[in-house]
Amino acid sequence: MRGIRRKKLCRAAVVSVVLSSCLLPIAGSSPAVAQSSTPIADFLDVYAPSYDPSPSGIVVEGLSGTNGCGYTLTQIEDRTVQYLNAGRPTITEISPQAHCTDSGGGVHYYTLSGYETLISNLVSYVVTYGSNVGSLWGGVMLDQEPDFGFSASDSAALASYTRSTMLNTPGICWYYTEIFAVGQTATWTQSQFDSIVGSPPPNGSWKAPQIYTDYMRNLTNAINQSEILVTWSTDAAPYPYNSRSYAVGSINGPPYQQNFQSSSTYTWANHFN
Amino acid sequence: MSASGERGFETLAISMNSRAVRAQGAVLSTIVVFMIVAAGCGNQQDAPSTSTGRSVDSVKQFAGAPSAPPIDTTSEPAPPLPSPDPSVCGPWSNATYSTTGEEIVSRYGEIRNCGKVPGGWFLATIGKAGQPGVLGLYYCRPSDSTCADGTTDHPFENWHWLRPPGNGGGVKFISLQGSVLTLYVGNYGYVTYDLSSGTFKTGLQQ
Repeated sequence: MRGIRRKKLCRAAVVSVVLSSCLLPIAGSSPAVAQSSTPIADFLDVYAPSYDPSPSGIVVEGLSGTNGCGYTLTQIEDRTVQYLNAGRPTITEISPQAHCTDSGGGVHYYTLSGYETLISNLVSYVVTYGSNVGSLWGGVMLDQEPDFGFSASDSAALASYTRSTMLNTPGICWYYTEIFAVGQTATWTQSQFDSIVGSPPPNGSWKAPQIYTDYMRNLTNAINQSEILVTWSTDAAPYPYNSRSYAVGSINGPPYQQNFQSSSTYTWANHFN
Repeated sequence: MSASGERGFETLAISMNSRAVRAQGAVLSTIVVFMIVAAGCGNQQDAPSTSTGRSVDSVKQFAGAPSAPPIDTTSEPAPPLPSPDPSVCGPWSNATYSTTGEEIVSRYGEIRNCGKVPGGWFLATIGKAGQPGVLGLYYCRPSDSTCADGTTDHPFENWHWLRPPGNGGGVKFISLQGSVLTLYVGNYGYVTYDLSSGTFKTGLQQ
């Protein structure tokens, strides 16, 4: 009896060592505890018309990506490829909005399918023309908010479409949800929030919530997610979330980890300013 | 690799009762670890290099997500409040920490953004049910170092409240370039506010 138990224990030992030797180095993150470890690097949000390759990582801020009301898809694509060709870890952000008013006062309306086409074209272009896409391009980041005019279910559908699109991309490319759940027209509930951000990858997004308020902190801490890319801001968030350490320290679990082309382990936060 | 090995031995120690079994397991584990190293398993920690090409890239890589353990959501993290920083908005921008913040939120809805602008401070609010968000501006005299200090209170009565065009939803800060604030007005679109001329314009100015 004791021999059988010993054999089982030894087999368990082998499994434990194999798992800890093979899986943990890939994961690179410590087991989840109540507090996040502090991310060692930041993506910096840089607007598409500007070029700044100096940050550790860049989020190309594309805004709506629609002609007449934001930076154009061409601007966003070209800038993303430029960063990739310069060897920078890069993510491309889009803020899908249902309508907007242009500088001449004209009102434009956009559909969900229009944004699906936009995302499809963006991904196709970057994968085709970017250098080392599979190891440098984090993928598409969706800024989804109630006041952008799409419902929670529409937003979840677009996130799901983006996931399907990214499944066909190489390497590390995936999608992120830089969600903010509070608006004047609606405030998304926990279940709506969950449906938009989805499960942990590969079934859902990398979560990049805007941690500016207690409500956002609470929604984020209630989801089943292994790693969080905390979006924080010094110059645009109210106290006390305008401190990186406070925003990051408010969130449970380990930070988003992606080494890109480095042989070192990199954990990340997302700096919006 | 050694850190991972240590973690593996910790796991092992918990699951074994006797010292003999522990020792036997440790020897076996060491052999397994060496085999793994020899097989190159440990090299997976290295990120793909530029020379790996699409053959490596074609496999989707999710760093650690599937194997990460569940998160303890029963405990709410409570990090220490940040040290006073004169360059950013202080407790007056939060209803929990000041009566100024409380009054702002009560009148104009939750504060979405707050920051420093040339000559003062700005706030953007989400608004309330049936009431759009607003842009709040607090002007400082050039010589007023107290006003320029974010740690001092900025009383409600000294704020100027502006309703951006569109009568839309919440107001969101996008960027500050020179004296021009770019905002997003919910269900309306992008607008700019020029602090020097005091005028709004619709659309995104590039």
